[in-house]
Amino acid sequence: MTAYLPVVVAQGFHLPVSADRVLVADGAEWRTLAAEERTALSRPLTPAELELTILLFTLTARLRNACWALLELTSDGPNFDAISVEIGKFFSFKGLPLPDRAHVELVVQDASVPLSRTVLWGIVNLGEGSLTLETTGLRLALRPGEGCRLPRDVGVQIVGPPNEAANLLLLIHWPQA
Amino acid sequence: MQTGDVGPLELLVIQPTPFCNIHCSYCYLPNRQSTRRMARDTLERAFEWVFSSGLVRRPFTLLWHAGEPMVVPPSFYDDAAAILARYDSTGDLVTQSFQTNATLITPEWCELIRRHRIRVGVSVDGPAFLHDARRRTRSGQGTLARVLKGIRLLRDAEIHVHVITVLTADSLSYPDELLDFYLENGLDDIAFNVEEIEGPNKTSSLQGIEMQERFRRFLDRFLDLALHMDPPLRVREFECPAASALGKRIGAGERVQESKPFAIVNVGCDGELSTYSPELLGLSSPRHGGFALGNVATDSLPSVLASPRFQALDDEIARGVEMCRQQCRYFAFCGGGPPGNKFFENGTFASTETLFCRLHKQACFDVALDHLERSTVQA
Repeated sequence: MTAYLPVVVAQGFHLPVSADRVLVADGAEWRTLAAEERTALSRPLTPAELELTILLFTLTARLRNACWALLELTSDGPNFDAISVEIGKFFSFKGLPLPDRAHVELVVQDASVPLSRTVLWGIVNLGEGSLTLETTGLRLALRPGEGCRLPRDVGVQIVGPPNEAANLLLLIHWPQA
Repeated sequence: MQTGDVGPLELLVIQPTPFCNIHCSYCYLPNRQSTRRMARDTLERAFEWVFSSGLVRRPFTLLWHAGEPMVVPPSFYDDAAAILARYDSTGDLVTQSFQTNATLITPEWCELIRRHRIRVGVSVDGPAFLHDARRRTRSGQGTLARVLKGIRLLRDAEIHVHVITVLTADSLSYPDELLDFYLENGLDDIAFNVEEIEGPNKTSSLQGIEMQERFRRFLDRFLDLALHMDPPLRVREFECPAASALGKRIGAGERVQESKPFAIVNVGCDGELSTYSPELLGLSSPRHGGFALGNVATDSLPSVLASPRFQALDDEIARGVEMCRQQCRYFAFCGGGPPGNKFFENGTFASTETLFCRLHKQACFDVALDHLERSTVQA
């Protein structure tokens, strides 16, 4: 019986899946995906499996650009609350609705300092280089515009692009109790 | 039926060649591998037939289609323009239009398009993972890169481009990605076709009851995005239903373009003539025979109108329109489903609802009306 990795491309999203998209811990080393593991990144999941699986997705260029416009302080653009609403509508259409009262945060990360978060619903790489997201036994490459929805209470470490000074992240938090 | 009882001509479709240089999986053209070309003599006779028929009673659109129109050289259209000028010296009567896959566009084509003020519709299905899945060459290669190169040439030449995107089941998950694609490529005049069951395309990925809801959700989301852009995108699937909702209701005995005899005239590359849905050109059925009703070289309009084949066809289509009027609550806005879709899906023109009706007529109307009402409330 195949033991599937707890990561798939979310339904309704298109992401190219290369062998180095996900690295798997292999003793002290990291290995690329085998062919069947790569195929399994597109497998359908039951609702119970969905909760326990990392779901990869891509945010549209329109929404990414809106976030950047905010940073560039263009006065006639939408404010962050309006962008957060648009992001919520996007995920809702995709069948991946944000939790009620989810909190969306735009973070400029010092790329040389790994960022650790444990209570994230999801993360989007809004920067211009690939970042690495590391969780137990897995390393995921998130290219510009890509992100993932995390299983609840799964801790992740976010490592910025090696050749960038700073990186822009969109963090989506579970509502605080 | 007399000449004055049919038409007026609204759309003339001329097929310079049935050949298409690409091989889309959902194509309805039966002879797209044939490299036959319309002879200049046939083109002369086609225009002579049209302008002497009595059908030309108002300006109309001449659409070069039913095969890739840019497979024939630009000189074909210079010849056509010279012939047309004999009948339309001011250029006010005929608006020419290409429906093209844009893979063969060159600066020379752009010059021709500008010279003859030809409108251009490009068929493009969105980002590569959607477009290249269906619109491929005969060797299986995706065509998007070539299409985008063609669109860039057109835009650089300041030629307005409207696009037609065929929606398949796969597309319905990606309204946001489609919007991104249009914005990135400077496309602001959009029309959606649904993958239809027509001719050789015997099935559609959009069949199935769940597709109706998915289609409605897709269109609702796309309109939400596109109509709130600054400036808003033009989306045919909003503008046409909205115009129908706000316009005159269609009454008993009235027929709309595709079911009105000789409002559309289709001329094949060998001069064969048909009317009603352009998709019928080049096809036949055991019961009706060929849907070509004559040839521009040999048959006058009165002789076609007097033929038992035309009369049987028109009678069946009229019965289908009447059935729509009696049974469909959208009739006052739609005027009856396209005869081609009825025939291909239901096996007879004397029938009503089709997949095309459910998606492209009913769902579009409902969603557009909903947006219209919302925008009115907000205003």
